[in-house]
Amino acid sequence: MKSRNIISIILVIMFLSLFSIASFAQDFPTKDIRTIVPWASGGGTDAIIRVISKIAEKSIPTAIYVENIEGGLSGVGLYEVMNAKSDGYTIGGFTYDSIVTVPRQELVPGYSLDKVKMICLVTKEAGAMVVREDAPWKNWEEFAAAAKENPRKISVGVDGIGNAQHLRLLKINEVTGLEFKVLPYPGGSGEKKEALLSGEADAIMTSLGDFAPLIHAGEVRGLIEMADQRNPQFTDVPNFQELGYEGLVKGSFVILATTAGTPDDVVAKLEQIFYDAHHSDEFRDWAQETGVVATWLGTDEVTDYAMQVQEDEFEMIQKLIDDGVIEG
Amino acid sequence: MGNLDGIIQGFITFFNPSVGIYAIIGFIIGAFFGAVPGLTSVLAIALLLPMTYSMDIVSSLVMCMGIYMAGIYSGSITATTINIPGAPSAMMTAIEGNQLMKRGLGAKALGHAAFASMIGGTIGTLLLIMVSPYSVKLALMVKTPGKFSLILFALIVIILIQRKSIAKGAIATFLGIMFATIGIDTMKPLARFTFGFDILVQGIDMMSVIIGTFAISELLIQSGEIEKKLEISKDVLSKIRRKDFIPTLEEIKSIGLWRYFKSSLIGFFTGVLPGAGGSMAAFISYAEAMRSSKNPEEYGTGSLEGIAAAETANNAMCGGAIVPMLTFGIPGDATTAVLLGVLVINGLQPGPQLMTKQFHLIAPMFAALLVSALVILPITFYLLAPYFIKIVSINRGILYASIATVAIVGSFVSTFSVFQMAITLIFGVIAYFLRKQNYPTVTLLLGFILGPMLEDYFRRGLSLGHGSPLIFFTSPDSLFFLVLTVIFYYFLMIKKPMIMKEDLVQKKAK
Amino acid sequence: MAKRSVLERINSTSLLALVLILVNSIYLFEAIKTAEPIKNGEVGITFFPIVASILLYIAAIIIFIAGIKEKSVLSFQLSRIGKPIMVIFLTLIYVLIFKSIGYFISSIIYVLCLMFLFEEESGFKKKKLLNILFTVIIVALIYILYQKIFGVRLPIGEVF
Repeated sequence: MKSRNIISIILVIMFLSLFSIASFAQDFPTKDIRTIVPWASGGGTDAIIRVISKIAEKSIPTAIYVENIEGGLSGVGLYEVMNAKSDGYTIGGFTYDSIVTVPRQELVPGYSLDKVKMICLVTKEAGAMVVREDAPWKNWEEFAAAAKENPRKISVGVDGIGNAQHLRLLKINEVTGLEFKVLPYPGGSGEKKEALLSGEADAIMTSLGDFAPLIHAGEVRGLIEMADQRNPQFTDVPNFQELGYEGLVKGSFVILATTAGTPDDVVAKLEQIFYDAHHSDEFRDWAQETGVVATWLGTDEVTDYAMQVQEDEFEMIQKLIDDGVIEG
Repeated sequence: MGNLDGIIQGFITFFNPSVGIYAIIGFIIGAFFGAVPGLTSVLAIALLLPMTYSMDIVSSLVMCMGIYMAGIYSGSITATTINIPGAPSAMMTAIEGNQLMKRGLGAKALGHAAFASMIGGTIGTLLLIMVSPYSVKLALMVKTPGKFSLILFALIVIILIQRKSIAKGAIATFLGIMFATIGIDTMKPLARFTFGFDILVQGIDMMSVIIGTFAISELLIQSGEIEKKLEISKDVLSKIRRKDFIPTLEEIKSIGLWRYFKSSLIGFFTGVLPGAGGSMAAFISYAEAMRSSKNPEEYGTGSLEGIAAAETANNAMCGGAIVPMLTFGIPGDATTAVLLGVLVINGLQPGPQLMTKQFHLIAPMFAALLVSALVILPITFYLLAPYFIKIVSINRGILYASIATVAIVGSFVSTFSVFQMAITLIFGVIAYFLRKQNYPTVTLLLGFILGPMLEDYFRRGLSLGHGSPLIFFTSPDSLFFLVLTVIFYYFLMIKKPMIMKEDLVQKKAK
Repeated sequence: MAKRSVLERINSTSLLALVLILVNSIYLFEAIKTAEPIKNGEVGITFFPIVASILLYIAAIIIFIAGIKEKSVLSFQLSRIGKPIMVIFLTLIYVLIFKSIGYFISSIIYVLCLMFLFEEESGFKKKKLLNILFTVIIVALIYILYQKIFGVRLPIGEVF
């Protein structure tokens, strides 16, 4: 830790806050940038945002610090971003839940994506299904055949009823006509791993990155991925697209966004900062090591992408509610 | 499976100075909190909890182990010198130790308490290290229906063990369970129990509950107490020399090695039992020592044997209480309940996964516990014993103002939310009123932690059984714990052996 | 012993039990209002809470009856409860001003008030200067602990 004394810090901050109002975007940033992770520290999203912030910090004169504000399936922390000053000094990490579940269920009053300006998308994680290595099904075709013969007998673990992974499974049901016994494991990926290894669940809906250590250890096999191209880290896992299924490209992502109303040149500066960090060898190496798929969508594309995801998912959820598959 | 390798690796990690130093820091913090009446090691860990966010998880676990061992042990210091147990687990030590203090043998009593703590702590940790590989295999055998029954068993035993009032224990547990339901449902993205207040959707943070029930309620209780001077007269202090503290070989022989070992076993297995804790361990061991003693008439008048039995057992309890916490996520006592919070908040899920795949995070913790008991305890005792006694004369204003500020700022730092700070205060007030009426607050916290798990397991168990609750009776793992619950009910409620023994001890003490 | 009506027999034990029963009723009402416990043969989001609530009723009624049987009567000792109420009040103020006026000023006020409260009898006034010094030290130490050692940002106040 740097040992500056208290008084000097107060003076510096007062000094800077006076100037930040009058400063130009070229000077941005003149004070520390607060990054809100709306999930617990130690999780996957937390790691991605912390790593990219640490790298981005090196290219600017001030610091980027991370605060974990949990609750409301990411809604509580992101609500802070929505109500911050429109100066670009508060950014937040948005995931699938922040774009779909929170607004759909109206979990946090006053939460609205209109109140944020999306900067960029940094990672994408395709949904996937995994089984034990010693499972009787060697590939998706065998698994699907077994599920067809015994509807609702083969059990699949998801994170929660009506949450992202459950919706993905329901989409698979819709497209393939299969039916499974659904087991909810809301306690995180540790619980799902245990359930798969102890034999309680036959398969798990997850992302391959989450199960990477177990896959590499040869205990778990990736059955199929909900992507349109093979995962560079798990090239032997097929995807629905190549097997000829339509509409089964789904997954989660991490989007960085700041408060709506932030001047465009400040947003552009933030985009540049994160673009450089994202395209650094350091970030690419880290992603490669941990099974995260680094993907880039800039300010021009990211909002359209997120809104498209939201629209598609809302439509699908509404259909499921109408059909009585899940509760509103 | 390379469990031995894991343990050795754990020791290597531990002896890295940047990690090991935390055990020493933890031990000194724990000794301080354990020795001051009204402060406990639970409170120490609760106050440090927000900091573990920004600390390396291994270091924070190592520090917690130091606090844990020291907190249990140092309760004996004030128990002996001023007859106020610094921690509840030193209650039995107060009975004997203070008698010796009055006879001018305080140093002897303190020395035996420290020696017994060292032995108990060491044996307890060794048992923990030996048991842990088997507990993993055991844990994988227990699936969702079994886990439901196991938690049910734990909650029932925790309630039944509240000897003062089972109904009050039950109320505190249910309150904890109910508070935990506020917010978003565990299984579905639906809000519940918001009572029309939108802000309640964010739910109650575990940190707010821990800091509120343990730190803020203590602050309120202490503020209502009339100020009393706890200072010890100067001549008592000046009389004590370091040499007097060391137990002689004859004394140890007369207590008997078997006594130490038996007390350790009693302590360890009391620890494994959910909710029992250090005071229960010390009490059972003390009662058993008195029953089998050659000189039962010495008990109550200053028996070194009694101190040895109680202090060995409560420190051996530490190792035992960690077993169910790590394997099933069911804490054995109050400190491990908060420790479970440390794990969960840092994203570690107790269970077989933790014990196999993340053993490198856990093994240094075992090393820290062992070294705390075997090395740090005797060294600190030898160096600091004369000063430990002075701890109690610390200025109340400074002490409680600091604790209050650390607690409130801590609840902000861990949530960055003024709402959660307010919740911390509310839980402090609730716990204050409950404690005033002798409701146990540890069961409130256990209800809060275990309640959501119980609900998860219950609902998933039903999914597994296609909606039928019969699955809880047909799965062998579940049936086992249900039968165990009945057995414990029989022993705790119908035979009531503890209560009879307690009466016996109280008569003796008088 | 003369017979007393139930109302006269209320003491602190039974009063707390009554409060718990009341709070529990609000909880149960909210549960019933939210959703059906069992819908289409499936356990819903309120089933488990309702079970806990019913069990709490049973335990609270047991305590209430036990309280009424006690001989003690309700008595308030303002001297015993006055200081805890002051501490609750002070802490509430602290929580409310913490973020807006910042860590330093709010904490110094809070610590000073608490010191005064805890040492009222043993002569806070005699050591006024010393206590102010200790206050500054405590506040500075906690700042160093969180902000410097653990790298967490404490609020400096929205006015700045």
